[in-house]
Amino acid sequence: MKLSRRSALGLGLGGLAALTLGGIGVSLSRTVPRSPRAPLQALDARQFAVLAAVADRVAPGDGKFPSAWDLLVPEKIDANLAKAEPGLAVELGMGLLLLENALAAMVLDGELVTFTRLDAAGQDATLQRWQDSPMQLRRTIYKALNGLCTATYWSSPEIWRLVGYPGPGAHLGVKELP
Amino acid sequence: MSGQIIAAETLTDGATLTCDVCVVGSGAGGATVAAGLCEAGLDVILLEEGGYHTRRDFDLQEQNAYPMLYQERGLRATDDGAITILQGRNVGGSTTINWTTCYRTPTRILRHWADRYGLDELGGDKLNPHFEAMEARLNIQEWPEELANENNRRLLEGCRALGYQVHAVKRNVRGCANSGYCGLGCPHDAKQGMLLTTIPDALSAGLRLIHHAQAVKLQREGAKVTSLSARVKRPDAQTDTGAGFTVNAKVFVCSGGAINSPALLLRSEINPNKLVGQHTLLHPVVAMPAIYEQAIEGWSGAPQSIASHQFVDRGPAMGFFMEAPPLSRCSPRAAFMASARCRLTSCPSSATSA
Repeated sequence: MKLSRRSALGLGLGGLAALTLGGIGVSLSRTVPRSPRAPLQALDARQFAVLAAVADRVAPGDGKFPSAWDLLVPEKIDANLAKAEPGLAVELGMGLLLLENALAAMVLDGELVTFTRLDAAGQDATLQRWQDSPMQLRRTIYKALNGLCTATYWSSPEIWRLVGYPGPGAHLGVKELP
Repeated sequence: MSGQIIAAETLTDGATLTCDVCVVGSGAGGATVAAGLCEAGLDVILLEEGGYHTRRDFDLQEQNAYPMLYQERGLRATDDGAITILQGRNVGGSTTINWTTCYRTPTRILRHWADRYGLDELGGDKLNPHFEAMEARLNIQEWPEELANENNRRLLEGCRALGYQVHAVKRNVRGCANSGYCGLGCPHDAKQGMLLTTIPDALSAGLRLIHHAQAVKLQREGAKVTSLSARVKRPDAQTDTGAGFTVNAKVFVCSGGAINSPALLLRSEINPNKLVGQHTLLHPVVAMPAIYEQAIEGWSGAPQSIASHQFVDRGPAMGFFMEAPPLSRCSPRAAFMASARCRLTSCPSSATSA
Protein backbone atom coordinates (compact mmCIF):
# COMPACT_ATOMS: atom_id res chain seq x y z
CA MET A 1 0.00 0.00 0.00
CA LYS A 2 1.27 3.43 -0.85
CA LEU A 3 1.26 6.20 1.72
CA SER A 4 1.79 9.80 0.77
CA ARG A 5 4.90 11.65 1.88
CA ARG A 6 2.78 13.80 4.14
CA SER A 7 1.59 10.81 6.11
CA ALA A 8 -0.44 11.29 9.22
CA LEU A 9 2.31 10.21 11.61
CA GLY A 10 5.28 10.89 9.31
CA LEU A 11 6.33 7.26 9.45
CA GLY A 12 9.09 6.16 7.15
CA LEU A 13 7.78 3.88 4.45
CA GLY A 14 10.66 1.55 3.75
CA GLY A 15 11.80 0.65 7.24
CA LEU A 16 8.34 0.38 8.67
CA ALA A 17 6.99 -1.82 5.93
CA ALA A 18 10.04 -4.06 5.96
CA LEU A 19 10.01 -4.57 9.68
CA THR A 20 6.29 -5.13 9.84
CA LEU A 21 6.04 -7.53 6.92
CA GLY A 22 9.27 -9.29 7.79
CA GLY A 23 8.00 -10.16 11.23
CA ILE A 24 4.42 -10.89 10.40
CA GLY A 25 4.92 -14.63 10.25
CA VAL A 26 6.65 -14.72 13.60
CA SER A 27 4.24 -12.57 15.54
CA LEU A 28 0.91 -13.69 14.12
CA SER A 29 0.48 -16.57 16.52
CA ARG A 30 2.18 -14.88 19.43
CA THR A 31 -0.14 -11.95 20.06
CA VAL A 32 -2.19 -12.32 23.21
CA PRO A 33 -5.75 -11.80 21.99
CA ARG A 34 -8.24 -9.38 23.55
CA SER A 35 -11.94 -9.47 22.84
CA PRO A 36 -13.37 -6.08 21.90
CA ARG A 37 -16.65 -5.15 23.56
CA ALA A 38 -17.85 -3.46 20.37
CA PRO A 39 -17.39 -4.27 16.67
CA LEU A 40 -14.06 -2.97 15.45
CA GLN A 41 -14.28 -0.17 12.92
CA ALA A 42 -10.70 0.81 12.09
CA LEU A 43 -8.25 -1.69 13.61
CA ASP A 44 -8.00 -5.43 13.11
CA ALA A 45 -8.07 -7.89 15.99
CA ARG A 46 -4.30 -8.06 16.40
CA GLN A 47 -3.85 -4.30 16.31
CA PHE A 48 -6.64 -3.97 18.86
CA ALA A 49 -4.94 -6.45 21.16
CA VAL A 50 -1.70 -4.49 21.06
CA LEU A 51 -3.55 -1.22 21.63
CA ALA A 52 -5.34 -2.75 24.61
CA ALA A 53 -2.01 -3.84 26.07
CA VAL A 54 -0.62 -0.32 25.68
CA ALA A 55 -3.72 1.19 27.25
CA ASP A 56 -3.37 -1.21 30.18
CA ARG A 57 0.03 0.27 30.93
CA VAL A 58 -1.03 3.89 30.44
CA ALA A 59 -3.89 3.44 32.91
CA PRO A 60 -3.72 0.10 34.72
CA GLY A 61 -6.21 1.10 37.41
CA ASP A 62 -5.55 0.84 41.12
CA GLY A 63 -8.80 0.05 42.85
CA LYS A 64 -9.80 3.66 43.20
CA PHE A 65 -9.28 4.58 39.56
CA PRO A 66 -10.71 2.34 36.85
CA SER A 67 -8.37 0.90 34.28
CA ALA A 68 -8.33 1.94 30.65
CA TRP A 69 -9.90 -1.44 29.88
CA ASP A 70 -12.70 -0.74 32.37
CA LEU A 71 -13.49 2.49 30.53
CA LEU A 72 -13.40 0.86 27.08
CA VAL A 73 -10.51 3.09 26.05
CA PRO A 74 -9.30 0.79 23.22
CA GLU A 75 -12.80 0.59 21.73
CA LYS A 76 -13.21 4.37 21.97
CA ILE A 77 -9.90 4.93 20.21
CA ASP A 78 -10.88 2.48 17.49
CA ALA A 79 -14.17 4.32 16.99
CA ASN A 80 -12.41 7.69 16.82
CA LEU A 81 -9.88 6.37 14.34
CA ALA A 82 -12.73 5.39 12.07
CA LYS A 83 -13.72 9.07 11.90
CA ALA A 84 -10.21 10.51 11.61
CA GLU A 85 -8.14 11.19 8.52
CA PRO A 86 -8.13 7.85 6.68
CA GLY A 87 -4.35 7.45 6.71
CA LEU A 88 -4.09 7.80 10.47
CA ALA A 89 -5.76 4.48 11.23
CA VAL A 90 -3.54 2.72 8.70
CA GLU A 91 -0.36 4.22 10.10
CA LEU A 92 -1.34 3.73 13.71
CA GLY A 93 -2.20 0.13 12.95
CA MET A 94 1.21 -0.38 11.39
CA GLY A 95 2.81 1.29 14.38
CA LEU A 96 1.00 -1.10 16.72
CA LEU A 97 2.28 -4.06 14.72
CA LEU A 98 5.77 -2.68 14.84
CA LEU A 99 5.53 -2.43 18.61
CA GLU A 100 4.28 -5.99 18.78
CA ASN A 101 6.59 -7.34 16.14
CA ALA A 102 8.96 -9.92 17.47
CA LEU A 103 11.36 -9.64 14.58
CA ALA A 104 11.89 -5.98 15.09
CA ALA A 105 12.30 -6.43 18.80
CA MET A 106 14.78 -9.26 18.28
CA VAL A 107 16.78 -7.28 15.77
CA LEU A 108 16.90 -4.09 17.71
CA ASP A 109 16.61 -4.86 21.39
CA GLY A 110 17.60 -8.48 21.89
CA GLU A 111 14.15 -9.44 23.15
CA LEU A 112 12.52 -12.57 21.83
CA VAL A 113 8.93 -12.05 22.84
CA THR A 114 6.16 -9.90 21.49
CA PHE A 115 4.92 -6.85 23.37
CA THR A 116 1.65 -8.46 24.38
CA ARG A 117 3.49 -11.46 25.87
CA LEU A 118 5.74 -9.34 28.06
CA ASP A 119 4.82 -8.94 31.70
CA ALA A 120 3.76 -5.52 32.97
CA ALA A 121 7.26 -4.50 33.93
CA GLY A 122 8.56 -5.56 30.54
CA GLN A 123 5.87 -3.63 28.75
CA ASP A 124 6.57 -0.53 30.85
CA ALA A 125 10.27 -0.84 30.08
CA THR A 126 9.56 -1.22 26.37
CA LEU A 127 7.34 1.82 26.30
CA GLN A 128 9.92 3.81 28.22
CA ARG A 129 12.59 2.78 25.70
CA TRP A 130 10.35 3.86 22.84
CA GLN A 131 9.62 7.18 24.55
CA ASP A 132 13.33 7.89 24.86
CA SER A 133 14.47 6.13 21.68
CA PRO A 134 17.05 7.75 19.44
CA MET A 135 14.87 6.51 16.56
CA GLN A 136 12.31 9.14 15.63
CA LEU A 137 9.99 6.44 14.33
CA ARG A 138 9.70 4.87 17.77
CA ARG A 139 9.28 8.18 19.55
CA THR A 140 6.52 9.20 17.13
CA ILE A 141 4.64 5.94 17.56
CA TYR A 142 5.00 6.13 21.33
CA LYS A 143 3.75 9.70 21.46
CA ALA A 144 0.75 8.90 19.27
CA LEU A 145 -0.24 5.83 21.30
CA ASN A 146 0.36 7.40 24.69
CA GLY A 147 -1.41 10.58 23.68
CA LEU A 148 -4.49 8.77 22.37
CA CYS A 149 -4.74 6.48 25.40
CA THR A 150 -4.20 9.31 27.87
CA ALA A 151 -6.62 11.73 26.23
CA THR A 152 -9.32 9.09 25.86
CA TYR A 153 -8.91 7.92 29.44
CA TRP A 154 -8.93 11.31 31.13
CA SER A 155 -11.79 12.64 29.03
CA SER A 156 -14.07 9.94 30.39
CA PRO A 157 -16.73 11.44 32.69
CA GLU A 158 -16.27 8.51 35.09
CA ILE A 159 -12.89 9.99 36.00
CA TRP A 160 -14.07 13.50 36.78
CA ARG A 161 -15.57 12.82 40.17
CA LEU A 162 -12.53 10.87 41.21
CA VAL A 163 -10.19 13.79 40.57
CA GLY A 164 -12.39 16.48 42.05
CA TYR A 165 -13.43 17.94 38.72
CA PRO A 166 -17.08 19.01 38.77
CA GLY A 167 -17.52 18.75 35.03
CA PRO A 168 -17.81 21.50 32.43
CA GLY A 169 -20.02 24.52 32.77
CA ALA A 170 -19.45 25.59 36.37
CA HIS A 171 -20.07 29.24 35.78
CA LEU A 172 -18.93 31.88 38.14
CA GLY A 173 -21.28 34.58 37.00
CA VAL A 174 -21.08 37.20 34.31
CA LYS A 175 -18.36 39.79 34.80
CA GLU A 176 -19.13 43.08 33.11
CA LEU A 177 -16.12 45.26 32.54
CA PRO A 178 -16.50 48.96 33.25
CA MET B 1 -28.70 40.59 6.82
CA SER B 2 -28.46 40.53 3.07
CA GLY B 3 -25.70 37.96 2.81
CA GLN B 4 -25.98 34.19 2.77
CA ILE B 5 -24.60 31.34 4.83
CA ILE B 6 -24.39 28.37 2.49
CA ALA B 7 -23.57 24.76 3.29
CA ALA B 8 -21.40 23.54 0.43
CA GLU B 9 -23.31 20.28 0.18
CA THR B 10 -26.37 22.25 -0.95
CA LEU B 11 -24.55 23.39 -4.07
CA THR B 12 -24.97 21.42 -7.25
CA ASP B 13 -22.00 19.21 -7.96
CA GLY B 14 -19.82 20.93 -10.53
CA ALA B 15 -21.42 24.35 -9.99
CA THR B 16 -19.53 27.51 -10.96
CA LEU B 17 -19.89 30.61 -8.81
CA THR B 18 -18.69 34.08 -9.76
CA CYS B 19 -17.72 37.04 -7.60
CA ASP B 20 -15.32 39.97 -7.38
CA VAL B 21 -13.17 38.52 -4.61
CA CYS B 22 -12.91 35.01 -3.26
CA VAL B 23 -11.43 34.77 0.24
CA VAL B 24 -10.15 31.41 1.50
CA GLY B 25 -10.42 30.99 5.27
CA SER B 26 -12.80 32.66 7.71
CA GLY B 27 -10.39 33.28 10.58
CA ALA B 28 -8.92 36.55 11.82
CA GLY B 29 -7.43 37.50 8.47
CA GLY B 30 -10.03 36.23 6.02
CA ALA B 31 -13.09 37.41 7.90
CA THR B 32 -11.65 40.89 8.42
CA VAL B 33 -10.68 41.20 4.76
CA ALA B 34 -14.08 39.94 3.67
CA ALA B 35 -15.89 42.45 5.90
CA GLY B 36 -13.84 45.35 4.59
CA LEU B 37 -14.36 44.37 0.98
CA CYS B 38 -18.09 43.80 1.40
CA GLU B 39 -18.49 47.13 3.14
CA ALA B 40 -16.65 48.71 0.20
CA GLY B 41 -19.36 47.35 -2.06
CA LEU B 42 -17.62 44.34 -3.58
CA ASP B 43 -19.21 40.96 -4.23
CA VAL B 44 -17.32 38.57 -1.97
CA ILE B 45 -17.41 34.79 -1.47
CA LEU B 46 -15.77 33.48 1.70
CA LEU B 47 -14.85 29.79 1.74
CA GLU B 48 -14.45 27.92 5.00
CA GLU B 49 -13.35 24.28 5.25
CA GLY B 50 -14.96 23.80 8.63
CA GLY B 51 -18.53 24.06 9.75
CA TYR B 52 -20.73 26.92 10.90
CA HIS B 53 -21.21 26.43 14.64
CA THR B 54 -22.77 28.72 17.19
CA ARG B 55 -22.94 28.79 20.95
CA ARG B 56 -25.70 26.17 20.93
CA ASP B 57 -23.15 23.69 19.59
CA PHE B 58 -20.58 24.42 22.31
CA ASP B 59 -21.19 21.86 25.06
CA LEU B 60 -17.79 22.39 26.74
CA GLN B 61 -16.83 18.74 26.18
CA GLU B 62 -13.35 18.26 24.77
CA GLN B 63 -14.19 14.99 23.07
CA ASN B 64 -16.79 16.89 21.01
CA ALA B 65 -15.05 20.24 20.61
CA TYR B 66 -11.78 19.01 19.18
CA PRO B 67 -13.27 16.98 16.33
CA MET B 68 -15.84 19.67 15.58
CA LEU B 69 -13.76 22.84 15.79
CA TYR B 70 -10.09 21.97 15.31
CA GLN B 71 -7.91 21.14 12.33
CA GLU B 72 -7.54 17.38 11.89
CA ARG B 73 -9.87 16.89 14.85
CA GLY B 74 -7.24 18.34 17.20
CA LEU B 75 -4.59 15.87 16.03
CA ARG B 76 -2.59 18.16 13.72
CA ALA B 77 1.08 17.85 14.63
CA THR B 78 4.56 18.14 13.22
CA ASP B 79 5.79 15.20 11.16
CA ASP B 80 7.61 13.66 14.10
CA GLY B 81 4.59 14.10 16.32
CA ALA B 82 6.63 16.10 18.79
CA ILE B 83 4.55 19.28 18.63
CA THR B 84 0.77 19.39 18.53
CA ILE B 85 -0.51 22.28 16.44
CA LEU B 86 -3.85 23.62 17.57
CA GLN B 87 -5.67 25.54 14.84
CA GLY B 88 -9.34 26.15 14.24
CA ARG B 89 -11.39 24.59 11.49
CA ASN B 90 -14.77 26.29 11.66
CA VAL B 91 -16.40 29.58 10.69
CA GLY B 92 -14.32 32.05 12.65
CA GLY B 93 -11.24 29.88 12.47
CA SER B 94 -8.86 29.91 15.38
CA THR B 95 -10.63 32.95 16.84
CA THR B 96 -13.51 30.64 17.78
CA ILE B 97 -11.28 28.38 19.86
CA ASN B 98 -8.43 30.56 21.08
CA TRP B 99 -7.96 31.77 24.63
CA THR B 100 -8.84 35.45 23.94
CA THR B 101 -5.32 36.78 24.50
CA CYS B 102 -4.83 39.91 22.39
CA TYR B 103 -1.55 41.70 21.77
CA ARG B 104 -0.61 44.26 19.18
CA THR B 105 2.29 43.15 17.02
CA PRO B 106 5.24 44.29 19.15
CA THR B 107 7.07 47.38 17.96
CA ARG B 108 10.39 45.54 17.90
CA ILE B 109 8.86 42.97 15.51
CA LEU B 110 7.50 45.65 13.18
CA ARG B 111 10.89 47.31 13.23
CA HIS B 112 12.55 43.98 12.42
CA TRP B 113 10.22 43.44 9.46
CA ALA B 114 10.94 46.94 8.19
CA ASP B 115 14.69 46.69 8.68
CA ARG B 116 15.15 43.12 7.50
CA TYR B 117 12.48 42.76 4.82
CA GLY B 118 11.79 46.32 3.77
CA LEU B 119 8.19 46.29 5.05
CA ASP B 120 8.26 49.99 5.82
CA GLU B 121 4.51 50.29 5.46
CA LEU B 122 4.15 48.30 8.69
CA GLY B 123 6.68 50.29 10.67
CA GLY B 124 6.40 53.17 13.07
CA ASP B 125 2.84 54.12 13.98
CA LYS B 126 1.34 53.19 10.64
CA LEU B 127 -0.61 50.24 11.99
CA ASN B 128 -1.94 52.05 15.05
CA PRO B 129 -5.21 53.19 13.46
CA HIS B 130 -5.89 49.62 12.37
CA PHE B 131 -5.04 48.22 15.81
CA GLU B 132 -7.34 50.80 17.39
CA ALA B 133 -10.18 49.98 15.00
CA MET B 134 -9.99 46.24 15.69
CA GLU B 135 -9.58 46.77 19.43
CA ALA B 136 -12.80 48.76 19.38
CA ARG B 137 -14.65 46.26 17.18
CA LEU B 138 -13.56 43.28 19.27
CA ASN B 139 -13.89 45.08 22.63
CA ILE B 140 -10.28 44.30 23.51
CA GLN B 141 -9.64 45.40 27.06
CA GLU B 142 -7.36 44.54 29.91
CA TRP B 143 -8.85 41.81 32.08
CA PRO B 144 -8.98 43.20 35.63
CA GLU B 145 -6.39 41.72 37.91
CA GLU B 146 -8.96 41.17 40.62
CA LEU B 147 -10.80 38.76 38.30
CA ALA B 148 -7.75 36.57 37.70
CA ASN B 149 -8.45 32.95 38.60
CA GLU B 150 -6.23 31.13 41.04
CA ASN B 151 -4.16 29.57 38.25
CA ASN B 152 -3.23 33.01 36.96
CA ARG B 153 -2.93 34.47 40.43
CA ARG B 154 -0.15 32.00 41.25
CA LEU B 155 1.77 33.32 38.26
CA LEU B 156 1.05 36.92 39.27
CA GLU B 157 2.16 36.51 42.85
CA GLY B 158 5.15 34.40 41.94
CA CYS B 159 6.43 36.97 39.49
CA ARG B 160 5.94 39.78 41.99
CA ALA B 161 7.80 37.86 44.66
CA LEU B 162 10.71 37.41 42.25
CA GLY B 163 10.59 40.95 40.95
CA TYR B 164 9.69 39.81 37.43
CA GLN B 165 7.75 41.90 34.97
CA VAL B 166 4.10 40.81 35.01
CA HIS B 167 0.94 42.32 33.61
CA ALA B 168 -2.76 41.75 33.06
CA VAL B 169 -3.56 40.56 29.55
CA LYS B 170 -6.02 42.17 27.18
CA ARG B 171 -8.90 39.96 26.06
CA ASN B 172 -11.53 40.26 23.33
CA VAL B 173 -14.62 39.57 25.41
CA ARG B 174 -17.95 41.20 26.22
CA GLY B 175 -20.06 39.89 29.08
CA CYS B 176 -17.57 37.15 29.90
CA ALA B 177 -18.85 34.57 32.38
CA ASN B 178 -15.31 33.76 33.47
CA SER B 179 -15.96 30.07 32.87
CA GLY B 180 -12.55 29.17 31.45
CA TYR B 181 -13.71 27.09 28.48
CA CYS B 182 -12.59 29.49 25.78
CA GLY B 183 -10.77 26.74 23.92
CA LEU B 184 -13.95 24.75 23.36
CA GLY B 185 -16.09 27.55 21.94
CA CYS B 186 -17.76 30.21 24.06
CA PRO B 187 -21.32 29.19 25.00
CA HIS B 188 -22.12 32.73 26.19
CA ASP B 189 -21.27 34.59 22.96
CA ALA B 190 -18.84 36.55 25.11
CA LYS B 191 -15.73 35.88 23.06
CA GLN B 192 -15.62 38.52 20.34
CA GLY B 193 -14.09 36.32 17.68
CA MET B 194 -14.81 36.65 13.97
CA LEU B 195 -17.95 34.54 14.38
CA LEU B 196 -19.65 37.36 16.29
CA THR B 197 -17.98 40.42 14.80
CA THR B 198 -16.55 40.72 11.31
CA ILE B 199 -18.48 37.81 9.82
CA PRO B 200 -21.87 39.27 10.79
CA ASP B 201 -20.53 42.62 9.55
CA ALA B 202 -19.69 41.05 6.22
CA LEU B 203 -22.99 39.19 6.00
CA SER B 204 -24.84 42.43 6.58
CA ALA B 205 -23.00 43.85 3.59
CA GLY B 206 -23.85 40.95 1.29
CA LEU B 207 -21.19 38.29 1.93
CA ARG B 208 -21.74 34.79 0.61
CA LEU B 209 -20.20 32.48 3.22
CA ILE B 210 -19.81 28.89 2.08
CA HIS B 211 -18.87 26.45 4.82
CA HIS B 212 -17.71 22.84 4.56
CA ALA B 213 -15.86 23.95 1.43
CA GLN B 214 -12.20 23.06 1.14
CA ALA B 215 -10.15 25.12 -1.31
CA VAL B 216 -8.18 22.63 -3.36
CA LYS B 217 -6.37 24.46 -6.15
CA LEU B 218 -6.06 27.88 -7.68
CA GLN B 219 -6.19 27.83 -11.47
CA ARG B 220 -4.24 30.29 -13.58
CA GLU B 221 -4.50 31.71 -17.02
CA GLY B 222 -0.98 32.84 -17.65
CA ALA B 223 0.20 34.75 -14.63
CA LYS B 224 -3.27 35.58 -13.39
CA VAL B 225 -5.27 33.41 -11.01
CA THR B 226 -8.78 33.21 -12.40
CA SER B 227 -10.57 30.42 -10.58
CA LEU B 228 -10.45 28.10 -7.63
CA SER B 229 -11.62 24.51 -7.38
CA ALA B 230 -13.15 23.41 -4.10
CA ARG B 231 -14.23 20.14 -2.51
CA VAL B 232 -17.41 19.67 -0.54
CA LYS B 233 -16.86 18.25 2.93
CA ARG B 234 -19.26 16.15 4.94
CA PRO B 235 -20.66 17.58 8.21
CA ASP B 236 -17.64 16.10 10.03
CA ALA B 237 -15.48 18.49 7.93
CA GLN B 238 -13.03 15.63 7.63
CA THR B 239 -14.22 13.49 4.75
CA ASP B 240 -15.22 14.49 1.23
CA THR B 241 -18.64 13.96 -0.29
CA GLY B 242 -17.06 13.54 -3.72
CA ALA B 243 -18.72 16.71 -4.98
CA GLY B 244 -16.98 19.92 -5.89
CA PHE B 245 -17.49 23.37 -7.33
CA THR B 246 -15.55 26.22 -8.90
CA VAL B 247 -15.31 29.88 -7.99
CA ASN B 248 -14.35 32.43 -10.64
CA ALA B 249 -13.11 35.76 -9.28
CA LYS B 250 -11.01 38.75 -10.19
CA VAL B 251 -8.97 38.49 -7.00
CA PHE B 252 -8.26 35.67 -4.57
CA VAL B 253 -7.16 36.04 -0.97
CA CYS B 254 -5.39 33.18 0.83
CA SER B 255 -6.23 33.42 4.53
CA GLY B 256 -6.20 29.77 5.46
CA GLY B 257 -3.58 30.21 8.16
CA ALA B 258 0.15 29.66 8.35
CA ILE B 259 -0.10 26.02 7.29
CA ASN B 260 -3.14 25.74 5.02
CA SER B 261 -2.34 28.83 2.93
CA PRO B 262 1.12 27.63 1.88
CA ALA B 263 -0.36 24.20 1.26
CA LEU B 264 -2.93 25.71 -1.11
CA LEU B 265 -0.26 27.66 -2.96
CA LEU B 266 1.96 24.58 -3.26
CA ARG B 267 -0.93 22.47 -4.60
CA SER B 268 -1.57 25.27 -7.07
CA GLU B 269 2.11 25.34 -8.07
CA ILE B 270 2.31 29.02 -7.17
CA ASN B 271 5.80 29.33 -5.77
CA PRO B 272 7.81 31.70 -7.94
CA ASN B 273 10.67 32.24 -5.49
CA LYS B 274 10.62 28.70 -4.06
CA LEU B 275 9.96 30.14 -0.63
CA VAL B 276 6.35 29.05 -0.10
CA GLY B 277 6.15 26.62 2.79
CA GLN B 278 9.67 27.47 3.96
CA HIS B 279 10.56 29.19 7.22
CA THR B 280 7.39 28.19 9.03
CA LEU B 281 7.69 29.40 12.60
CA LEU B 282 5.90 27.91 15.56
CA HIS B 283 5.47 29.19 19.09
CA PRO B 284 6.14 25.99 21.01
CA VAL B 285 4.51 25.79 24.41
CA VAL B 286 5.94 23.79 27.26
CA ALA B 287 3.56 23.22 30.15
CA MET B 288 4.72 23.05 33.73
CA PRO B 289 2.21 21.62 36.19
CA ALA B 290 2.51 22.08 39.92
CA ILE B 291 0.70 20.91 43.03
CA TYR B 292 -0.36 23.44 45.67
CA GLU B 293 -1.73 22.97 49.13
CA GLN B 294 -4.73 25.17 48.45
CA ALA B 295 -7.42 24.63 45.86
CA ILE B 296 -6.60 26.08 42.44
CA GLU B 297 -9.37 24.63 40.23
CA GLY B 298 -7.47 25.51 37.10
CA TRP B 299 -10.36 24.56 34.81
CA SER B 300 -12.35 27.50 36.09
CA GLY B 301 -11.88 31.15 35.22
CA ALA B 302 -10.52 33.08 32.27
CA PRO B 303 -7.30 31.54 30.98
CA GLN B 304 -4.15 33.54 30.31
CA SER B 305 -5.35 36.69 32.03
CA ILE B 306 -1.87 37.27 33.46
CA ALA B 307 1.44 37.10 31.61
CA SER B 308 5.08 37.82 32.17
CA HIS B 309 7.43 38.93 29.43
CA GLN B 310 10.40 39.04 31.78
CA PHE B 311 12.36 36.70 29.53
CA VAL B 312 11.24 37.80 26.08
CA ASP B 313 14.57 39.37 25.22
CA ARG B 314 17.40 37.00 26.03
CA GLY B 315 19.83 38.28 23.47
CA PRO B 316 20.80 35.52 21.04
CA ALA B 317 18.91 32.88 23.05
CA MET B 318 15.24 32.24 22.35
CA GLY B 319 12.98 34.28 24.59
CA PHE B 320 9.72 33.10 26.07
CA PHE B 321 6.47 34.24 27.65
CA MET B 322 5.11 32.90 30.92
CA GLU B 323 1.35 32.41 30.96
CA ALA B 324 -1.27 30.28 32.71
CA PRO B 325 -3.36 28.28 30.23
CA PRO B 326 -6.60 26.49 31.06
CA LEU B 327 -6.40 23.10 32.71
CA SER B 328 -7.76 20.80 30.01
CA ARG B 329 -8.70 17.27 30.88
CA CYS B 330 -7.17 15.81 27.75
CA SER B 331 -4.06 17.94 27.66
CA PRO B 332 -0.54 16.59 27.67
CA ARG B 333 -0.40 17.87 31.22
CA ALA B 334 -2.82 15.14 32.15
CA ALA B 335 -0.46 12.68 30.54
CA PHE B 336 2.37 13.97 32.66
CA MET B 337 0.35 13.70 35.81
CA ALA B 338 -0.68 10.19 34.94
CA SER B 339 2.85 9.13 34.17
CA ALA B 340 4.01 10.60 37.47
CA ARG B 341 1.34 8.50 39.15
CA CYS B 342 -0.17 11.61 40.63
CA ARG B 343 -3.50 10.30 39.43
CA LEU B 344 -4.85 13.82 39.55
CA THR B 345 -6.26 13.12 42.99
CA SER B 346 -5.07 16.62 43.70
CA CYS B 347 -6.76 18.01 40.58
CA PRO B 348 -8.41 20.89 42.44
CA SER B 349 -4.97 21.81 43.83
CA SER B 350 -3.02 21.63 40.59
CA ALA B 351 -2.05 24.59 38.49
CA THR B 352 -0.41 24.85 35.11
CA SER B 353 1.84 27.49 33.71
CA ALA B 354 3.37 27.58 30.29
